[in-house]
Order: sequence, then C-alpha cells, then structure tokens
Amino acid sequence: MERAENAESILVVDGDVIARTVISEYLRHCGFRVIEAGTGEEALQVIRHPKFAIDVVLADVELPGDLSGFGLAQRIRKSELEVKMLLASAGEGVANTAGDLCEEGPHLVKPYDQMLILDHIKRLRAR
Amino acid sequence: MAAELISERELERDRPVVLLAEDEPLIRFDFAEEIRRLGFQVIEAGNADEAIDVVGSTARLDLVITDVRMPGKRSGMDVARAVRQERPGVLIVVMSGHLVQNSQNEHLMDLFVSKPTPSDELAGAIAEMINAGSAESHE
Repeated sequence: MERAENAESILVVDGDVIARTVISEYLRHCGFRVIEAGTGEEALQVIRHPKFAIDVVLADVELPGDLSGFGLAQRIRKSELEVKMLLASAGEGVANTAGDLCEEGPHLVKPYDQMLILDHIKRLRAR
Repeated sequence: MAAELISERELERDRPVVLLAEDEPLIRFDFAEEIRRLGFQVIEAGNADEAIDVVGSTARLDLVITDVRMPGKRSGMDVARAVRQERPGVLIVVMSGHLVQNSQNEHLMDLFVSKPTPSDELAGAIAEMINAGSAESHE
C-alpha cells in the first residue's frame, strides 16, 4: 500500500522484535509512516532527530536498557516536543499506572490489540 | 527466544521478506524505507539476538542483511551462521566498515558490502539478488 507523503509518523518502541514487527507492519498498512526502536535510548535518538517529526509514540513500559517506557514518557513530557504518547504493558496494574502518564489516559495491555491501538491513535490525532 | 511467531497471516504471501540487522536506528530506517519502496517486506532487528530470534520464527524469509559489529555478545557473523544452519536457502548480505571478506568467512555471505554505502545502492543490489533467486526457482 502506498503511504501518503504527509502521513503521520508513529514511533513504535518495543524490545520484542516480533511484537514490534507485527504492530508496525499493521500501522504501515493503515497508511502511517512507522519508525521502529528497540530501546528507550534509540527512541530518544529518533524523537530528537528533525528528519522524523514524530507525532505519536507507542511504547512498551518494559524496555531493555536503562530507559523504560515510563522514563521515555517523562523525558517527552519535560521536552518542548509536541509528541503524543501511548504506553502499553503486559501487566494490567502497570498499564493503569501508564495511563496516568499519558495525555488521553489509555492503558493498553499487551499483547497488542491492533484495532484498539489504531482507535487510540485516531483519537489522539483528533485532539 | 521470542514467544510469538511472525505468521503467514501477518506477512503478505507474495512479497519477499528481508531481515535487516543494524544497530544504528537512523541508518536502519533509511535502509528499510528504501527496501520497502522496492516492494519488499522488511523486518528490522537492532542487534544480533533479535535477528537470530527472527531467523527461527518468521514464516517466510528470503534475504538477510546484517551489520557485523552490533551491541551484545553476538555479532552479525553469528546471525549469518544461524541463517546458514537454520534457513540454508536464504541469501545473506554482510555489511561492515571493518571486516574484510576472506576465505575464512566467505561461505557465510552471498554478498559483502563495505560501509558506508548509499541506501539506494544497497536496496538495488538486494532487489537484483532476490529477483535472480526467484527467476532460478522458476526455471
């Protein structure tokens, strides 16, 4: 499927390559420009790079390395960047806490529900 | 080992699948975009462990491109060994700014690319390899 040149950019941050690939391919198929990162540090590199102009970050709370999804969300909140954040977690308790850190309060539980994520992204874009 | 599998349902049956192992996210994105533009599906791995997980778990795999030096205990040459062992029909492209192709490692690669290399050149070379491979299989 052809992606529109002005498509919204979604950064998918997940340390599980299989989960990351599957949700990223789905979002590409929906017409988004998708950038993938396996760690919070990689995600920050991408977010800070002017070439990417990320609109929405979808991040797992549990990430390999020193920067978790929570840490990433806090860094984004403290920055001047206008980036919307969706956090997901395999644990429901963690996911609820993640909801408190997000703009819209989504608390996505893994494994990813593709339709639900698409719905959340659409709602964030509409705000 | 990754718990899930990349099944045929998630891959498009008719489009070749390329696994790209590169630890630098900006370079990885450029290569992956260029390869997708040519009509291939790309699975992106940020280190050798991720790439080896994919080698053992994706329903379809046509070609693997791997950098040699990546963070973690395993390198791109470990990825190449895993591909030769587990998916013997899959093409391997090794790219490096340090390694030199020699008689010790040449059996682990179908093409060696010196880094840095422009993403469009790399994608073009890959398309030729995959198309030549599929032409052979139809003869």
